[in-house]
Amino acid sequence: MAVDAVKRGWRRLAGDPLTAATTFLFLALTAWLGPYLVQWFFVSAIWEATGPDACAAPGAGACWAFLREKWALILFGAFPHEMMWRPALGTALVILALGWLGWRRWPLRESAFVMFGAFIALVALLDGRPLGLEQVATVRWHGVAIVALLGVFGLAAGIPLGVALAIARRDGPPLVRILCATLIEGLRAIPLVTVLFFAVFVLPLLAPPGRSPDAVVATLIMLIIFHAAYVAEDMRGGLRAVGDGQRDASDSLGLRYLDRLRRVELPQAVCVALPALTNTIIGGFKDTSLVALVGVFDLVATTRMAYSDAAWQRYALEGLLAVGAIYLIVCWLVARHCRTLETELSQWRKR
Amino acid sequence: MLRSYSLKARLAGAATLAAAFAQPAAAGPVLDEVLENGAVTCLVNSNSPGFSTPDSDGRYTGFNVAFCRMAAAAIFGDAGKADIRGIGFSDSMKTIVAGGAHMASRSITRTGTRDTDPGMAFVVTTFFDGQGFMVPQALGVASASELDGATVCAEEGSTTLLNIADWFGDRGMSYNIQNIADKTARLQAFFNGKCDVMSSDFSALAADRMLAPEPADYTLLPDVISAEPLTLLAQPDQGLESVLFWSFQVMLNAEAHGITSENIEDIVTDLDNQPAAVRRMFGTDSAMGEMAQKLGIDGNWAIEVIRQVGNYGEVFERTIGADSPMGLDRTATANRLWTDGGLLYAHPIR
Repeated sequence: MAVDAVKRGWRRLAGDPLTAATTFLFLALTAWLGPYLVQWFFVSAIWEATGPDACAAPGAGACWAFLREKWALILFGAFPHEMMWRPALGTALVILALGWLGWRRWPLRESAFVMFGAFIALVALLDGRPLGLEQVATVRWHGVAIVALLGVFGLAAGIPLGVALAIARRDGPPLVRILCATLIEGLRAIPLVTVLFFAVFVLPLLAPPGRSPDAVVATLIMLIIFHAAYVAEDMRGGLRAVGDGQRDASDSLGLRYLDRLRRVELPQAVCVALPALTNTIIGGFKDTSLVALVGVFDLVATTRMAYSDAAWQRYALEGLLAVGAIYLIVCWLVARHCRTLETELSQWRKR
Repeated sequence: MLRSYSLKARLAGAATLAAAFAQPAAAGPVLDEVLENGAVTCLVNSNSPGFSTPDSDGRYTGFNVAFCRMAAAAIFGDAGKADIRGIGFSDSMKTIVAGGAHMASRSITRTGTRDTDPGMAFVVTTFFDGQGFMVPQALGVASASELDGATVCAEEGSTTLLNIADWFGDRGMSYNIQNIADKTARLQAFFNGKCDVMSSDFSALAADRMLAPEPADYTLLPDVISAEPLTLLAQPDQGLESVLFWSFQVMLNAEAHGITSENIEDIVTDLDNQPAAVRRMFGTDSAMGEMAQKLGIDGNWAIEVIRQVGNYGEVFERTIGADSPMGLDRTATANRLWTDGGLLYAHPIR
């Protein structure tokens, strides 16, 4: 048994010359870089410090004391820190909602209800007025709250809108079809940064003076529309793969149009489109960090605030690594969850 | 003594009465709006070391932030009533023009074309800067005129690149630009030798040099290639502009008379024994008090500015001075009182 395992492992790592060479290359790379990385990350890292001086000592590795000092600023930015619990609770509620719905495998009506509730709760907690708390203007919504608001709800609203666009593009009257196609193809041909610049800098010029749209709101709306265009394309592929036979079969059973979509075509289309959708979701979530370019303070922007403290300027790398780790964890969880869904759906399809 | 006190009290009473019957403050609609709003909205850079950046608790601090707090202390008697907002460079001017903020304290260079733009007004220069060059000692260059063919690291946008183009163009010298927007990345590139020279404002270069692995390996060239009067920006409004200009003059006059946030209490309690120029600054029946009445703000505004913010020199040393992490030597800049050979000229308060 054990011998078998060793044999299998050997074949995997050095079964043929190419594999063996790759294995050797990676081993060499690890042996070469590993000690430096371990040294920097752990052995000579500074974990606790009363000030930045300890990190400036010769031979000091990573300055994790920087994160200890600045974690609240990185997570919440300039949101008044005595009210830090509000973005913290709001973000926790969003994470809980996503976890719950993921575990329940996204039942349609419940998902819409829970996500809408989470959105209202997050906005109410951040703004404060609906709960009778002190108002905090959107210019102070920073860090994780922005990632939760723009990253999660940009997609949460973008996905259903994208599905609707895909269906309208296929089944709508000719004019609607042309409009949808133009919108989808147009948005896909423009970089997100351009769209965001348009939202934040051009829309206010078009709006009547004094009523210029809020930057966070404008960004959220643009993200929703942008993500919807990509989702629509993913779904178009899925819908095409289902084929006309399913439609004819549904018609012959006397199913009405909406029932046909809901019970026959969409479930199969989602199965096919899931890998592409996963791509869109992960890419879309990561694109949230682009909002920093139009003056909305996401995690990358708050990290920049943290290392612009004159005394801690040298430790940008530590801060950015921490933010990278947060994105890595989120994207890995999304990818893993989608793969679980894929496996389950393909089993369901086989039946 | 007693009589003079009662006379003062009576005069103050009469003044209050007169104020009550006077026309609504002719200060200006924007200042009125600030007063009604209960906070002065002030735009700053969100990540400018020493000048404006949030501390670990998310509260903005720094040299530029002090002038937002100055405005709030003058208008409301409470420096905490400054609504300080981090914002990008070009957006700050747009936001002022669109009426989205009352003022900006953001190291904006006062130029003619900007000044003639409607919808915004430059008020008073808080920091005199100029663009310069930093080179590695190893380059063996003593003057910027020896930089022919050099690769220059600089930030895009702002006037930095334009000044470089002017300097090299006027002298018929060739150069390459390494255009890197992020400051940390730009410094990395320079310290790793990806460019021969780094160009930025002197104040920034002095601080950047301290971030080098070996600061002594780098030097600032003596050439100043541009004038950068970094100036407070406000919505055009006589009232608000007066508040900003004269609060700043109070900070300069206080420094000239050795008045600090530490000793202001003693000065005020012992006001009668102070020089006439100091007596004119503090109290409701001083020149500043008279101005406050016309502006519709509290007569003790000068006291509050000094108590809560400090005089100009205090603010400089606390935020960017030689003993701060920024380590900027004030005597090496023009930001000294004119009596010390600088450009800061304390206007008469009377």
